[in-house]
Amino acid sequence: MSILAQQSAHLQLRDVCLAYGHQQVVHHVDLDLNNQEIACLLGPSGCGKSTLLRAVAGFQPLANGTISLDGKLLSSDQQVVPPEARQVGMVFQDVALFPHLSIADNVAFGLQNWKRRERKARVQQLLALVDLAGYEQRYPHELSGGQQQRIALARAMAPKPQLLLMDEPFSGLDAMLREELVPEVATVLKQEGITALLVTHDQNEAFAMADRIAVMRHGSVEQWNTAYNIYHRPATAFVADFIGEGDFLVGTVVDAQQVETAVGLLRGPCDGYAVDSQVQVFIRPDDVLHDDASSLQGRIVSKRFRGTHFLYRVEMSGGQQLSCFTDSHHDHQIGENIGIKLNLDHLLLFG
Amino acid sequence: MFKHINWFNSATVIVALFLLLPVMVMLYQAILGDSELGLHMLRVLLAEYVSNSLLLLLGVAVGVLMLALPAAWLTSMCRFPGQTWLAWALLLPMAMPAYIIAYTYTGILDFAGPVQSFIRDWTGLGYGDYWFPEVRSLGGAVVMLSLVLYPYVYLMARAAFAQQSVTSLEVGRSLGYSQWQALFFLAMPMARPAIAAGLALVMMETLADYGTVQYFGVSVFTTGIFRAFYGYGDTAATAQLATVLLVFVVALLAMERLSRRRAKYHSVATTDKRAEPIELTAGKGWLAFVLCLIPFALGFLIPVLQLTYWAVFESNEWNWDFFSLAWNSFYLACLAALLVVALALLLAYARRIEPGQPVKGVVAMAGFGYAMPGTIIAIGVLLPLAWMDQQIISWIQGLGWSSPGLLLSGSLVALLFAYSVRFIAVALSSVRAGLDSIKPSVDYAGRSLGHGPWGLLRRIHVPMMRSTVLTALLIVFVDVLKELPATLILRPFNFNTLAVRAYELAADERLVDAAPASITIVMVALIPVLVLHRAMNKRPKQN
Repeated sequence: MSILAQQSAHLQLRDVCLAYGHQQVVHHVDLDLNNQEIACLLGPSGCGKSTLLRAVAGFQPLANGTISLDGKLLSSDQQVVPPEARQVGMVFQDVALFPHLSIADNVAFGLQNWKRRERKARVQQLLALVDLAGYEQRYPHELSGGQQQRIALARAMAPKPQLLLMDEPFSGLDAMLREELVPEVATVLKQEGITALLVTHDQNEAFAMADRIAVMRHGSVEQWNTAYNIYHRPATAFVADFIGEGDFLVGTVVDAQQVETAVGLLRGPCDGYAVDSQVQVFIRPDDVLHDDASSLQGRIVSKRFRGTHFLYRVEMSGGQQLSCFTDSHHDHQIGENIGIKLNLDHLLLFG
Repeated sequence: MFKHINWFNSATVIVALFLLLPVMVMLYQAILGDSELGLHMLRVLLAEYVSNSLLLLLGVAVGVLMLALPAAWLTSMCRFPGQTWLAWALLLPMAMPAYIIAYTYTGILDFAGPVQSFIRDWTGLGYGDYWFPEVRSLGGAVVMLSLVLYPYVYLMARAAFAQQSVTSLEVGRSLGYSQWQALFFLAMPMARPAIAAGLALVMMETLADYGTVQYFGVSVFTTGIFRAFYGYGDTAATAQLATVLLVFVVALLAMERLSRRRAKYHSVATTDKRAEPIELTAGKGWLAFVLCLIPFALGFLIPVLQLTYWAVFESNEWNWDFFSLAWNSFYLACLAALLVVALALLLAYARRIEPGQPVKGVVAMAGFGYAMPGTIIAIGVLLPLAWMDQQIISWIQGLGWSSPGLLLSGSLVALLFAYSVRFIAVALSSVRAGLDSIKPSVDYAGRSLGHGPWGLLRRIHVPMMRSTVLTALLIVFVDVLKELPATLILRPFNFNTLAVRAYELAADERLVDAAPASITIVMVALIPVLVLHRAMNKRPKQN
């Protein structure tokens, strides 16, 4: 490992494997997270993302690999720096505020070595930051769910951790509250310049919070990139399917620039695929345009009104189905034929 | 927490094995011991014990249901005069040990007692001229035990009724059931597992009772065990009887566990919304009042008034001896409570830290003690300790010194051992409830905020566990104070407690003189009942 690499990334995971007993649940994960970046582990439940987060926090020993923070080794298969000595803060799914302590004492819990005056000032500062100034003497059970989660965030940030971990911090809240709280928390983290790693199964949350996203499946990281690239340049068929909406079309590579499919000849680079090989072409609904003039016709099999637009499901002559966004005024009936046109920036091909 | 401390596990296993020792000894004796009574006992005595015990169980079950169910339903679902205070007054008979209510009613109802005297004065009849039911009989034992044990079913049934979602009753109404039909076809069946669990506890207590049946001269298992051990000195026969009784107990225990699990599934309430109480007016209201007053009056009010009268106006027992008895009881109960709760904490933490199957199993086994009648535990403690004393004595005499006496079986060690076996489950369930309320993520949060294991213990666990540990101490304290058969068997020579003294005086037909000790026990036993009532009424907090 070069010195340069150690300095460039704040949090480094190298070849991390995790196991429960003899069963390995996380395989060979490499991640680099820069200072003041917010990253997200995104994946379906059971993909190992929470286990990986617990390993970073120091609650889960490593079967293999290393975790280091700011150039200091935290975990390896040989040694584990205990959680209390890591300077890593954590926010939990079930909030886990201390029910017997006041809000001020909860927030001050990690400041045991601070001077009295500084401690008080820090608590005030954080309560103001999460917009709960004046709640010092209340108790956790007197607060609403959203307020409790904000206090949990303040408590974790109080000791100025080098890294903040958040395990599904919003999943216990109802949809309305989540919508409100997610951007708020993102703003707070950015304001404080915090490096954070978040676990979620909700891609909207990941998009709203994270600079970088690791999409995980079966204990492996499928892709580690920005939200934009994960959506537009998914590395695997799983990532394409898991993020956003879309359909796979079966196609045959004609030459280095063209693929033949049920909706016609599609143009775009086909690097790495041999001529005549079978491929899957991934098409997102926003790439499928409604055009009455188009010769390509599909029959509407279902429709969903979403206010700003319609989402139509159309069946092509060969039985292939596609989803298509139209603007909100194009109200067609189920069974009607409509013309569609593909507008692809680039081809997403999978073997 | 404390993952690195391995002696913790060993200590846990040793403690758990010690707690299992008495039962093991009894089983060993039952199988391998040599019985002189043998066949004779099995043929003649066992048949009587089994049939009497079954009659007693059946009678108490019926009695308890009759007392508890109407009261539970009326106080939780209806509104009538006096309902609020009756709801908690109905719990008070829990404070009354069965043997004490038995002595009291014997005093009230026997030939020279106030009731029969009044009848004779009023009618002019004399001795033998009229029929009066005999209290000291199997039927009498059924009534006494029902009067003090019904609160178990009352509590469970009330909790079940309270948890029932108003919506499921409303669904019934919308499908055309009347209020009363909804009660019989929906509310009662939904509460059935909870009622069964309560009933199983009642029947275990019934089987464990010694004081009442002994005083009433009813031959059941516990008295038989006593007789086989002290009357015939036949250890193997004692153990065989105990084993048969244990079979009953294990069956009841299985019933209780199963019902509890089913009760969990049956409580499907998703909202806080409670059913609107049914308003009972005029005649119906008074009927409800009387129905709820009867269990309270018979199970608590009347015996307490009678005991108080005897203790204050008639007894000569308020003397120096009484205070020395009270002191003995107090410090014995304190010692036992501290020991038992400390052991419970050890087991509860072991279970939390090492959630593997072996520790879990060992801890669960240790919890069976509460189902074991005190008589069995006491003899199961006495046998191994007496054996160890013999070894110590012969070893020390072998060294040329004089015998040190019975260091273990003749001292408080034996009593404390028996109490630990008997009451560990009570303490454990209370302590575990407290420990379970500290979710693992709370521990994690504390550690990620820079506190080590000992810091967590001091700043999170101690303050959060304080009230449950105090409750556990209180419950064990009172249980020890009330406990009769184990204390009777294992107390050191010349060492008396309030419960034992009450038993001795009652056995000498000095019922009036037994009153001061009895009323003292009842008054102290009221404390945990009131604490329980307060805990039930507190709204559950978040977190």
